[in-house]
Amino acid sequence: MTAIGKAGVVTLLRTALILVIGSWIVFVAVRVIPGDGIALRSRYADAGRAAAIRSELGLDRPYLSQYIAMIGDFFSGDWGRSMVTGRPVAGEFFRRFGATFELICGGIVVGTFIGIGVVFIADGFRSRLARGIPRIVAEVGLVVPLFWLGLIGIYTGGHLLGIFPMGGRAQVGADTGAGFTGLLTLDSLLRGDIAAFIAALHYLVLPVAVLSLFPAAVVASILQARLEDDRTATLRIALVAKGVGPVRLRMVHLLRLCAPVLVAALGTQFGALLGGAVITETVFSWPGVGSYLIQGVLNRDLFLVQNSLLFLLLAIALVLALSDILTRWLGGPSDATV
Amino acid sequence: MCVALVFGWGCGGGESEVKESRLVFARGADARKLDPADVDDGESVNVLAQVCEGLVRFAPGSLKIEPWLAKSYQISPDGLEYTFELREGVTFHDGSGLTAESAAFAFLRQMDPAHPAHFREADFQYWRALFDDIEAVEVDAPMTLRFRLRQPNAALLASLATFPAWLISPGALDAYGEGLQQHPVGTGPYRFVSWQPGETIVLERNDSYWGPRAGFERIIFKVTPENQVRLLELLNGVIDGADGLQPADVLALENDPHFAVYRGGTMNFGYLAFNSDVPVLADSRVREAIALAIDRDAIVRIGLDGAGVAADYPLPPGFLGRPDGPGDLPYDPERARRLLEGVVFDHPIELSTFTAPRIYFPDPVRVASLIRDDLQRVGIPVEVVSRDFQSHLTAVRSGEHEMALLGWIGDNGDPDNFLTVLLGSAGAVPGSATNISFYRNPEFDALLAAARVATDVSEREALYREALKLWRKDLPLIPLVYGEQLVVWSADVGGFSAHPTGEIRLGTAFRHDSDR
Repeated sequence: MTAIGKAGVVTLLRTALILVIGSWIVFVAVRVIPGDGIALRSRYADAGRAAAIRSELGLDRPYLSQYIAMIGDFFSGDWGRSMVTGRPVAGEFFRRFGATFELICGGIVVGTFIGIGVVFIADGFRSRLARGIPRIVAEVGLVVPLFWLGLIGIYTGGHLLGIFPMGGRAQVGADTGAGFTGLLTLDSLLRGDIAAFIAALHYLVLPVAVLSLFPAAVVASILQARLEDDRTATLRIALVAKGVGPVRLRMVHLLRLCAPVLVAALGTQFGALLGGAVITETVFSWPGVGSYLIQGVLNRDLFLVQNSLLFLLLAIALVLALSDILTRWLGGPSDATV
Repeated sequence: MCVALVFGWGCGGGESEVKESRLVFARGADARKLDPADVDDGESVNVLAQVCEGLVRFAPGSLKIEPWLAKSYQISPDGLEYTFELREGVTFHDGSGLTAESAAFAFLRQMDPAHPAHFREADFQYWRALFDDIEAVEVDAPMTLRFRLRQPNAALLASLATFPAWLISPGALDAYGEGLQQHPVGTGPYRFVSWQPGETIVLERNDSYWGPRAGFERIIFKVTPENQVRLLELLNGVIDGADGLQPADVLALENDPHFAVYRGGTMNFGYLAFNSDVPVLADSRVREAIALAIDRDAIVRIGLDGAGVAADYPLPPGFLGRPDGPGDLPYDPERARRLLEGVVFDHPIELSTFTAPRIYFPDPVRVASLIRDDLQRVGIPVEVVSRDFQSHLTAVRSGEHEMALLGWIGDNGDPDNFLTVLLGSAGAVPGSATNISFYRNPEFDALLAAARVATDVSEREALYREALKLWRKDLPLIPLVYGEQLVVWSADVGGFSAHPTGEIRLGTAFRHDSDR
């Protein structure tokens, strides 16, 4: 009990530390990034006007008071307006968030299945060659640029074969049917509209396939390493001797053994996955927060970038904490089996 | 008339009409705002060009000004009063009629900081840059609008044809408040329907348009960020037209009978600026030698994939005061080498460039490497420094560069909009410079000031000719290319023409029947 309590405190402290350091990095980064979004707003530059705007936005105040204001505004939901479009940042961010969330969930779920599948299927064969396959998936998934992969996907799936759309979430000009959740698959199911559900899936296939490669690689490499370690080999021999069948051996015992490391790995790679989503969104014209953030950075749209990054930071820290807790919870029973 | 009416009814009933009468155009970025007074990006302007109109406009395919929502105009002999007689029977999309009172709204809101539609967050940069000489906007009679000027401004009429002077209905303020920046209510052939930011903007035909009936039921502007994906969408008929494609890809489409390629929007130029505050570049022999050493035709061929023309004046073709023939900027590396005899470079000269494509430099890094190679061939060591566009702009506006690549896209087709902005000493303030050569020549400034207030065209022409001679003598910047905007349409879309201003007008566009 005390051990668990101590672990909880460690997780809490770590999350707090990530948030504090991360938010300072965001704060400094958006201010030192070369290229002044306020002065560049006009083609006809006007130094006096830029200074006036900066003072109106409080950007001439001491850094500490600006930082406190930034945190206060973030949590009170006052995310300011885009300096380029004039739209409130919070409204636009959360309108797009569903699209990104749907993409990332798809990527994680599909990627995990692929990673586990590849490793266990290869594990079923005794040949060295087959056992090399997970390694290849892992290497390729970590190395191949998503950007290139996305273009290849659209070229083959959309152009050559003509079976998948070339991007977007719905037909051009059609009502996307986004509802309460902002996830088209979930919204259409909640409405009981099967046709819309299938259409939403159709648009998800290519981008999710591209995005899933990275989590698949992470899962495959970790699972493979775990299977090859001595402890696992001993457990395996014991289980086979007990008469456990090959499918049950992998899908129940080995998976349970590996679950904590997998959850921990996916948790720590969540940030990288978000990065992958940014690129995937741009290639697939996916109207999510990733492409929103990219536009914001290119335009030096201060409050847009600042608050979007803070939200993503919060999301990453929470996922990390959650995976921490989940790992420990899963860790108990799996340690007991050994 | 009768035939047109019958034909119109006949077309409206068909089932296939619904599908056929939709036009989808894709570009790389979304519009920023849909308020003509507060935008400066092509994506916003190209949507607004279907929805809004001005008192006067550029005649199709040219820089000539023709009356439009005003049926006639008069300029007083002293150049201080512009009087517009408005067209009757024009209505805004909200049903309100065009009167001098409602026309004045678009100008008063930009001019008067106390106006309820002079939003605090809006910039109105063009008002300060192009319309600042306007002292008062007066309603003279129900259909007569008059502008009174502080001093004559020969460019004003052309400025009134540009998008910041397009009219929007005063009713939009009552209906949407600050949201009018996202809900344009104009008089144009298409009316605004909806906007999904980052995805699509939908317009529909304005059935009570005062001019010829628009050719499509709906126009959809779609965002496809990736150039290659946009090309694939075009090849597969997902979209009907696109801009911002890579010139090399467009060249391949030029021979394809399924597509029509339009080249337009040449009201721009890309240039190489010398920071005159850098000692080595203050030497006129070095500037002259650099000009002689650069092969501008090779830049067009390799750096732009042919999507442009070599530039030899800091003014695009057709501008007042620009001589018609080729200018005095030969490619002569031999002479460059001779000029440089005795000049010692103790360090490589820095050439700043940027990474994002612009209309004048689709690949600015490639252009920079071509120039570096040209200059090194005549013995000038060069180091290329490349940044993203926003960082580059900040650096060069503060004068942190030695040589820099940049360009300018003109607003109103007037020489003043190029020469004063890029070479006038008022624009040479570090931190907010538009004159990134930091060229300060009182004689040059005086010529431009005189040309601005001169009302006689031939007098202005002579003054700009003189100014161009001074530019050539001092050579503070070398013009490199006039970039071309490439717009590709599916071959069955007709009635489209390319404009020098680069704006895309779809009011007269239609779909050919042949494919049905």
